[in-house]
Order: sequence, then C-alpha cells, then structure tokens
Amino acid sequence: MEPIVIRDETVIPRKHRALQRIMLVCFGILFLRLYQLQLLSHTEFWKKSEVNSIRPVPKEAVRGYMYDREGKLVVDVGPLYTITITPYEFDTTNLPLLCSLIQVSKETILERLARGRAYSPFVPVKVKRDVDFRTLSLLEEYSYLLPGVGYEIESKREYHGGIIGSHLLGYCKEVSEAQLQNIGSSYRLGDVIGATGLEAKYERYLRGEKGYSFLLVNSRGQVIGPYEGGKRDILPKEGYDLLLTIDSDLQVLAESLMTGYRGAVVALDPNDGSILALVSKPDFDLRVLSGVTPAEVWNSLNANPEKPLFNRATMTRYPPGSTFKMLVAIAALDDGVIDESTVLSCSGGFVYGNKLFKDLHVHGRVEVKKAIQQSCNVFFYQLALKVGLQRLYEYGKKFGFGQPTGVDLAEETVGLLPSVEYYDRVYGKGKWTLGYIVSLGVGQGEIGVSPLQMARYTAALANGGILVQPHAVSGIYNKHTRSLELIQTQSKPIGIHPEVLTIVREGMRRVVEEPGGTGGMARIPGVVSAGKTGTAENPHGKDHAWYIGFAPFNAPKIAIAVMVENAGFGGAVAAPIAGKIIQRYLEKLQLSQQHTTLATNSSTKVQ
Amino acid sequence: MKTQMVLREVSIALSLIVMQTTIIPLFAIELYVPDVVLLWVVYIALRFGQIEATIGGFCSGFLQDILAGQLLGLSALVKTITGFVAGYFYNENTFEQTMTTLRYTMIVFVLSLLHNGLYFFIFYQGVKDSVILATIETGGITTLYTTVFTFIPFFYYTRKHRVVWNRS
Amino acid sequence: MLERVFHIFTLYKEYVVLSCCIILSLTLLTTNDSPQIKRIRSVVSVGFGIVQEYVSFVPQYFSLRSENALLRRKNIALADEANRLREAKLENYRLRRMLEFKERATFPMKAAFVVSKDLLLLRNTITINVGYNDGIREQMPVVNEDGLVGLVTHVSANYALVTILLNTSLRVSGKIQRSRVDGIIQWDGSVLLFENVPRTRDVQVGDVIVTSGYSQFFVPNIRIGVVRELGDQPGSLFKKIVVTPAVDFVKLEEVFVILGHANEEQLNLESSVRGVLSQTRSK
Repeated sequence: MEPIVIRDETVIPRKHRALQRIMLVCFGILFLRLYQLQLLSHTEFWKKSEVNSIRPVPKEAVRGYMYDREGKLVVDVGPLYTITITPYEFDTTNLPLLCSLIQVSKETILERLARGRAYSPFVPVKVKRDVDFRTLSLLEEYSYLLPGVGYEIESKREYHGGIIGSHLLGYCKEVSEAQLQNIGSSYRLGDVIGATGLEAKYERYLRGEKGYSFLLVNSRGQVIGPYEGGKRDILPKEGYDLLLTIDSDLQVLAESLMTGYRGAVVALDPNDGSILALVSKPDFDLRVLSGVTPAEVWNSLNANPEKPLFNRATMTRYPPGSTFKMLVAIAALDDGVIDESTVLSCSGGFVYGNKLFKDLHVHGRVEVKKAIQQSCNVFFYQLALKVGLQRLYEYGKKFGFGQPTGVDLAEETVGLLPSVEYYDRVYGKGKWTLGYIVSLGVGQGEIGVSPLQMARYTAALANGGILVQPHAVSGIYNKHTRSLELIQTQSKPIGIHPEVLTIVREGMRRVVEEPGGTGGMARIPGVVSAGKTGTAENPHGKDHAWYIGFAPFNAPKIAIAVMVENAGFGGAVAAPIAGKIIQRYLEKLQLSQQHTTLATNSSTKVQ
Repeated sequence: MKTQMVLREVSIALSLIVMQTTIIPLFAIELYVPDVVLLWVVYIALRFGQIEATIGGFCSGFLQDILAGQLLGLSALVKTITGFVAGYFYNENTFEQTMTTLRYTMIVFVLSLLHNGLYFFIFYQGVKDSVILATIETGGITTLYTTVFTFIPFFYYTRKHRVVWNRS
Repeated sequence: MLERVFHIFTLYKEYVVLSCCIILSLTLLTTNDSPQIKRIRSVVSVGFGIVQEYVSFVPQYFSLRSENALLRRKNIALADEANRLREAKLENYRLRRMLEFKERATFPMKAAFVVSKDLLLLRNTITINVGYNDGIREQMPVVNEDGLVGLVTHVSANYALVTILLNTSLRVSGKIQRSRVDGIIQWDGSVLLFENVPRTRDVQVGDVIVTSGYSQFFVPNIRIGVVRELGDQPGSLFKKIVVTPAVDFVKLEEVFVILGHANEEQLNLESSVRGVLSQTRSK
C-alpha cells in the first residue's frame, strides 16, 4: 500500500475539506487578532512593550556623612531594610513562619499579596518597612524555607558618639507634594529631602545624584535579568561629606547638662564664629525620624506641649535681661556720654515719669565696671535715657541684634530690636514716651533675642569687637574629585573704641572672678573667665535665666550663651552649665596642645 | 538522513522556536500559550523515528529554556521524554497519511497531554498549594490550545501533497 | 566482549540516547535556584548518598575476586592492611582531636561521617551518616573542630543532607568578634562574603567572624572564618568583605551535629513576650 503523491487537486476526501474550512476560519480569527494587536494597537502596545521590556530602577545615592571638628564620624548612613514578597514565588503554607518572624499579621500579608498579585505576580510587594537587623538575619537564615521572600535596601541616618543634635543636625523627610512643585525635577514622590537643620541647609551637597539600574522584564512583569548585563546602569553619585565645626564631646556634654531643662546652649569659637555646640531642649531622638516614622510618633512630637521640635537656640526671642547691659555701657562709653569713672547713684529704685523701675539691691554710688559686676539696674536705667533710643538701636544693630546671624542652619529668628520707627508704628507717632526705653537699659521690655544672637554678641565682646558669622560647617568634601571646599564666612569689625571694650570686659571679668559678682557659679579653677548673668522677665510664669561668658579672659577660645526657661535667676542655673562646658573645652584644648608639643618634641629628637 | 534534509528540519525548528518566544505569546489566552515546538517534535518523531525525536526534543527544549529563561532544563527534559514517546507512533509508511488526517491531531493531543502534564507538574512544585489541580487546569487547557494549532502542518500537507490512495 | 557491548548498545540505542538526554536535562535543572528544584534536589541527593555508600565497597570485591595468584593476593592484602593501619592511626588522631573539641563544647553533639560531598556547584551539600533515628532534625547546625560547617536541611531515617557554608542558599548571621559588627555570611558561588556591613563600620583584614546571638539555628560564637579582603563597592552602602572559611571543606570527613538547640522554644517565647509587650503598651 504505497501512497502516490500527485499534483492534482481532484481527489480529496469530503470530511477533510470541511475540517480545512473550520481551521481556515480559526486561523482567520487568530490572524485578525494578530492584525489588531500588531497594527491597530501598534503605538499603544509599542509604548507598553518598551516600558515593560526595560524597567529602570532608581538607586538612591548614599547621603553624605558628617564629621565633627576632630574628624569623628557623627552622622552616618545605615541600611533600611524593607521586607518584600514576590507573590508568584511565595508559598502560602509558609505564612505562619513568616508572620512569626516579622511580626506582621497574617491578614495584612494576605491582603498585600492579593493586591500585588492583581497588579503583577512577579513584582515584589512590600510587607514591612524598616525592620531591624535581627529580624533581617532571621529572615535570611530562613530564606531557604521562604522562597519569594526578599528585601530591599534603602538608607537611613545613623548617629554616633552619643550625640542627640536634634536641632543642629536636623532630620530628613519624604518630600511633600507642595515641595515637589517648587524644587523641580530631580525629586520624585517618595524621595527623601533634608527638612531641618544642617540636613536641610546642605541638602544639595549631601544628597548626591540618583542612579539607575536597568532590568529586563518580560511582558508579565517578571524580571529576566540586568539589561545588557548592567553595562548601561548609571551609578548613583554619592553625596558630599560635611566637616562640622561641632566638638561632639562638648555637644554631648551640653546636651546632658541641659537635660531636664527647657532652654538652649550655643557655644562659639569667638575667633571665627564656628559653632562648637548648639543645644535646644527639650529635644527628640533623631533616630525615631530617620527610618519610617509612624504617624503616632509624628503626632505626639507635634502635639507635645513642651514643643521638642522647636529650635530654641535659633528661634526663641526672649528679652536678654541684664546680659544686655554691656551693650548699653558700650553705647554710652563709645558715644562719650559717660566715661570709666562716671559715678551714678543707686538707691534701689528709679522713678521716671510716674513709674517706679526697681532694683534688687541698693548699690550706692557705682561706676560702670561695678555696675556690670553687681548688675545694678538703676545705673543702666539712667544710661539708657542718656544714650537715647536711636543710638541704642544703632549699637544693637552693630552687635547683630534684630537681624539674622547668617548661620547655616535652616531656620532662625531675627528677634526684635526696637527703633524709633518701631515705637511709632506700634504706638503711633508721639504717643509713646522715653519711659518706654528705660527698661531697655536692663534688657527688658520690647526686645527679643535668640541664644544664637547672644552667643554672637558674646563672641564680639570676647574677640575685641569683631562680629562673626556663626556656622556649623567648616568644609565640604567632594568624594569624587577628592577635594575639600572650605566654607568662607564673613566677619566684620564693629567699629568701637578699643578702650571701651576693655572697660566692659573688665566688668565682665569681675562678674565671675571677684567677690560680689553675680556669676561666681561659672568660675573655673585655674582659668580667668568673664561673663554676665541675666534674667528675662516673663509675664507668663517664672523668669527665664541667661548666662553669657567667654574664656580664657586674655585670649578667648570659647564664647557661650546659655538660656534656661523658667529657671529664675540666671546666676544659679545657667552660669554653672556654662562654666562646665567652658571648662571641658579648655581642658580638651590643653590636652591636644600637649599632644602636639609632645609630638613636635619627639620628632625633633628623632631628627 | 541527508545533510540537506537535516538542515531543513533544523531551520524549521529554529524558526518555530523563535516564533514560540516572540509571536506565539501574542495568541495567549489568559496565561495559556500553545506550544508549536511540540508540534515539530511530534512531526520529527512521525517522520524520522524515535532517536531523532529524542535528540530533537532535547535540543529544541534546551533552546527554548535558554530563550524563555524560566527553569533551565525543564523544557529539555520534558521534550526529550515527549520525543521518545512520540517515537512509538513512528511508521515509515504511514507518515503522509498521518499528517493529512486527524490522526496527527490525535497524536499531538495525547503527547501534548503528557508533555504539559509533566511540565506543569514540575513547574508548580513548591509554587502552588495544589500542584495536581493546577497541573490539570493549566496542562489541560494548554493541550487543547496546542492541539488546535495542528491545523498548520495539516494544512501544509493537504495542500502540498494531494493524496490518492492506490488500493491495488 | 567489546563487540557484545557494542551490540547491546545498538540494540538499545533509543534508551541510551534517552538516558543521555534525560541526564543532561536533569543536570541543567539542578543549576536552577527555585523552590521547585529544591524539593527535587533534596530527594535526589539523599538517594545518591545511600547508593554511593554501598557502591563504594564494590571496587574491593572486584579486587578480591580477581584471578591473581595467592602470593599476589597476599601481597595486596598486606599492603591493604598497612594502609588501613596508617589510615587508622590518622583516624585515631583526628578522632582524638574531635573528642577534645567535644569535651570543650557545652552543647550535646552527635558525631557523624561525611558520606558524600559536592564542592564545585553553586549549592554545595554534604551527606552525613546520621539521620532521624539518631535524633537528627532539620535546622540543626553542623560543626567540626575548626568551626561552622553548615546546617541540616533534609533528614531521612539514617542520613541527613547538610547545606554547607559554600551554598548560595545558606545565610548565617555573624559578627566580627573584635568590634561586634553584625553582618550576614553568604556564599556567592565563588567566595564567601560577609554582607550588609555599612562602609563606616570597623572591620579589618584578619578579623575573626563568629556566629552572632541573633541566629535561631546556630549557637553563638562558633567560628565562621577570617576576613581576607576588604573592598569598596561603588554606589553601595556596604563594604565588600571576603572571608576565608574556618573549615577546610576539601578535607572535611568527620563532623558534629549540635543537638537540641532550642530554636522553636526561643521563637515561641519571643513571640509570646512580644505579644505581652505590645498589649501592655496599647493599654
């Protein structure tokens, strides 16, 4: 039985022909579908297939680090782990194990899985963000039993050396939609941006540049592998590092000394304005905000009546109290209204118009140094009147009051320094009397300064009359070019007679060093220092305490302003805090000097 | 087998494999994709015999694995076995007849059932909760859909070779 | 003889081809890293282990049954004995070292011999001659006197499959003994890596890595290896840390399985404690 193949179309079984037609129809339908897919929906599918076939995965750059003035790592970047499940690979019989490992309820996981599966079973679903390393290592060890369970790595800030620095360092936040419209295209929803403190101010240096890796993905969303073996990937560019002027030991000490108080400490190097420590209390743990911040944490921080998010070091404006007296004295001396030996008498009170301005003691006959040493109010009431509002305002401006300090932290208040125009505006022209400015002589009334402004003022008193620009960053290190860009700050001489400053400084020295001074609690054994206490009247409660000071007296290395809310008399609470901080810093300086002398000595010996 | 013939079959196989990974998924109904490479393996078995089909099955399966990139070796294994079993349907004399009648469709159906059963049984291990149910569902539907595609060679052979049976 | 073999071959050529292709396919399959293959692999490996142990005696029978003369046979027997004595002496030494190790260790352990091992794959395993009947369960750590070997991942009645450190699917949480820096040990197919360690952490070449207390399988402070190489990974948060394993897997013959490491108990306790904590917090 040999089949004979012939090229003739006569003999074909009938049933075959029927079958042929059915198949022709089937094929026709399929062909039409193909036509529709390939030609009619061409552009639509083309787009889709292009998007599908190469999936760019953004890679966040490693944020820059921050080092303190001694080169110690203070702000670090650590991993933030997010547990994911690929629905297609996940075996739901392993659910109980997974639940117990990551402490997420079964329902939550199932719900996420279902949602993920509906989108694409091959795309990993996030089930828990910001898990700790212990959980991660457990998951990793169980990974051979948990197919489909993986993790993604993002980064978050970590802090070393016991530093809190909530207001100085600042925190990062997911960029908000409102911000997105302002800052342009390099940010996407979900990106992290510096929100406060140095993180915000130096955002463009710290952030670096996002990179992309390209993955080849099939039409069902399943990752096949890296596109062109990862050759086209764009590596993220790391952010620049910040070299801080902060001394982390000093910062930690200041933070611990202020524990339990509400207030702020700002310590500057009076020679260049670099911030050695900046503390605002109450504070909060930056680590709480560094990873995924639960809404209740945010709400409790925001709703806290103590306002821990508020930066008291740069944002409060309280009257400076008696710490303002040096300014009044300088104005008077510099204008020649009084001289070093001008004596005014204090009877424990001062009447101007129909109002009595009080003093704590009867100081008798005092000249300017004694007035500062014993903080005689009556002396300065009279001085304020003698100097006049306009000159007082001008000298205040010279020392940086009523204007921004130019600090490189995200937010600061300009405070309030009243001028003639100010009173005219508030009370109306001619409707206020000179009596309004009597209290200005002792830093009370309508005047507001921030601890940072006070520290800058103290630095100017310390360094012989140069107004520095406070700053927390001394340099920016570019890891790509390996170059260090030093930050330039502006210092300008105030322009007062040097003898004037000498007189005032001597008064300040007596405050701390002589018996009868108000700042004896800030005394440091073996070092001559200078300072001034202050008490800011508070209509809402107990007075706020101030202390400003600097040391060593002859060649100041540190200038400090301490403000403690509702602490009463400044000499009791604020002065010892300042004293301890100054002492620690000077001891450190001495130690490092000894080290360098030792080092140079030994190296000369070797030579 | 002559070299020319081998070359011809190989080029058919290659184009089918390329089609299988490019065009055929467009015909997919839900997730069920017909397997035209399987048609080729069966065809090789019917035309040349068991060994050729076994080797052909392995090679084509291997290529498919490389191109599709899921479980490397799985298609190779399953196509090898399918080719081997398909070899039992080999009969030198009835090739043309088989290709032009519903017999080819039937054979493809049986082998496709074997092929898909094995394939999805392994494929779903440790992935689905009920492996057997999933295998029956996916395997069954894929088999039916693959069988529909037998009209291609059927069409080809009935057009090319108008067959008359010499009953003498 | 050869002709006969050839004859048999031609007779069964279909089957020969089939077997070849199937073996090839299976080999290909085992290179995958997917849940499907893990199940198949465990069955196959344990099976191989059993077969291998019996087959390993076969060459001896052949040599005994060969048509050698009496003298020659005696010679071989003597040589064999000498060999065995030497072997016994070495074994004695090794066992004594292990015994010392066992005495030093505080947890109950079960000694075992390696029956078979893979060292050249991405996922290497060893099969040991103790199993369920000896009290071996899944997820028990396996060590020797040098340090960590791996983890029992499959158990049959008398054999157990151990996933060793040189296996891409095994992860061990470890820490640098000196600086307490945490990380995860993982084999990438060619070298052992200590991963997930941020760049700023204190790690130096020569640092010893031990198992950390975080682990649920491994008791803490088992030696894992020594840091051999440090590198940078551009754009990454992490250091690249290459580790030399403490255990010489090539020479590995005897191991210990650490019994009764109470991981489930710990798990249950922890989850119950965490439950209580979260309850009190919500109150």
